[in-house]
Amino acid sequence: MDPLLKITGLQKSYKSPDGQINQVINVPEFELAHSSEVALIGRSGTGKSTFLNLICGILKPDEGEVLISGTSMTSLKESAKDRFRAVNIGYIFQTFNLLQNFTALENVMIGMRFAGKVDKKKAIEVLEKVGLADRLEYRPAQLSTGQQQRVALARALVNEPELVIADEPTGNLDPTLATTAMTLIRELCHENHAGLLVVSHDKDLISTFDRVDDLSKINIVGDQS
Amino acid sequence: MIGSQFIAIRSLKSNALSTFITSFSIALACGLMMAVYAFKEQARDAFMLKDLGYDAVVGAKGSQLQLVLNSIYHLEQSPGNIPWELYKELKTNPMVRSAIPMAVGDNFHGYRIVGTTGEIFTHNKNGMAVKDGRVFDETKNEAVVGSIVAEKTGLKVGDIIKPYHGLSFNPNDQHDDEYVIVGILDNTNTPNDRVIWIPIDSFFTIGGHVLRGSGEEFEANGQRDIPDKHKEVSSVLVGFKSPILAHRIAAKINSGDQASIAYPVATVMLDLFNKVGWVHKVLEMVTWLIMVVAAATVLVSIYNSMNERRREFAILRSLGAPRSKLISIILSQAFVLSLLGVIGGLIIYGIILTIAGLQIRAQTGVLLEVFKFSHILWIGPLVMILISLIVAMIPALKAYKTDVSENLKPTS
Repeated sequence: MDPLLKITGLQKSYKSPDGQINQVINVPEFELAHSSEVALIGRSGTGKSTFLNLICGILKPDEGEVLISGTSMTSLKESAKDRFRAVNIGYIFQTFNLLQNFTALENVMIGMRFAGKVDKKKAIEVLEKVGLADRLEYRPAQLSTGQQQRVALARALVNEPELVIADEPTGNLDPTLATTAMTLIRELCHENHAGLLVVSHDKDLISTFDRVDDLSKINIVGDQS
Repeated sequence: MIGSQFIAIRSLKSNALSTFITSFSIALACGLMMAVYAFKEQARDAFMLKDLGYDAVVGAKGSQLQLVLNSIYHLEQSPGNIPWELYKELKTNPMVRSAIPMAVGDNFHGYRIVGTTGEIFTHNKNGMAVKDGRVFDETKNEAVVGSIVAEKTGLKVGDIIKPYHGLSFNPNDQHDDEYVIVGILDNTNTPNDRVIWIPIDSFFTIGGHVLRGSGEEFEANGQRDIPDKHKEVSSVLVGFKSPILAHRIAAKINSGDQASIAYPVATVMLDLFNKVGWVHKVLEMVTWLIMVVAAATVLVSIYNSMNERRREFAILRSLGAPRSKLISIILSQAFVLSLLGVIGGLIIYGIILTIAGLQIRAQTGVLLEVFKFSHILWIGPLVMILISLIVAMIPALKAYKTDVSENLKPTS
């Protein structure tokens, strides 16, 4: 059986303003099994966000391949890649990235829209599950930070993706909220049999993971970021 | 439910002021453009006065346009008079179906008093019908009042009026002769609604009126039995039995030195519209420029919001929205903006034409059919929407090129 995520020879470079080519990512190999979880750590500037964006297909690598359950993200056409991302990957951002003009329910439903399975009942169910049954019609600005995080979580998980990627998911939360949020992420991933890839600096959070990978070791480009 | 239009409308709602200003500018541009085009069409139709019941106007030598404006539209000064004999010749000409004399020179509070025969009420099956009372007795000092005159002056059957001398109202220049109102005419939506009709023989006898039909001055001073040689008329409305005969008579009259003929009446009016056509062309150009400016407001309004929306687009892309979806959101936004604008434009169009129509009705008696369908009512909105969509392609392409990873970075 193919692993949930398999990366081989992934490389990404950027051209600096002075014309120099700077390699940011050079990951020869990386794997994540189905329904498993991993925490990625690394110093600032080691290309963590770039790495996640390459996995999601938001960025196009210069070299290498990203396989998700055997599907090569790197060889899909852009429209197919967008659809694949909508259906199979849930992305949780540090700053939540909620759409400010839309209610909590609409934020979740927009996530469903691009996966082609809009189901209001299910969106409400997921929001109820994260404890926001009474905040469906609230806009992000009307919600607390913890509540916004839970909307982002509901949006990422409503399509029951195989892979959940969380970029500093507790970075904007106080320790108590961070623990609650992480517990919720784990619970929902477990329920959906989703794999979880978390990037974090939070030592308390990292200590709860069995597998912790240091990106500065995986990404052999070293300090060139 | 959550499609491009939903996202576009939500964005427009969250920028309500900008949305209002942009759609209002589109409404003004679109309304103005439709009004300019429709006004031209409707004014031309209305001023052509189809089914007049007569084909030509015979009057003093001079401008045919002035003749038509004076005799049919009851505007402008009379170019002069022609002898009564000429009217009689026309009346008895076997090629002439009808000949109605008209004598002008007096008014009542600015509304023209026209001396004529009873035939004016019967010559045309679509002609003037009496709403209240009856038509005048040609042997008495009686008057029949047009609908606008009755409405504006409050004159009713049984009232007595004294004419004022001249075509413009001067309160110090009133005749002593009295006329009894015996009839109020039904609305005809023609300049005739602004006229008070009296028997032509009584017109000759009004104190101070000087007749020069014989070449010498003659004042009737109330004397009814005036020799024909002294009589003169401002014009004669002529209906011909056939167009071929009409041309023959027209050529004869125009080659003489006594009178000129405006024939066909519609052609004379068409010439007028053609002469002032350049004014309309300029107006058309201005309205097109305003349309372009309005389209530019759509561009500016959407383009200015792009910086703050980059993050929104990046989020949508991260959720799986294809690039084409971003284009569709921006175009939907432009579509909704321009749709709101053209709906407002139709309202503004209605307001402009209603006001213009009321003014024209008050000034000339001619009624514009304000809500008559005109092709510009769908062409204008369609063009406005298309222009808006075209200019919106600029911000749409910018949205298309949104750098997702760059715009997803934490902002603080």
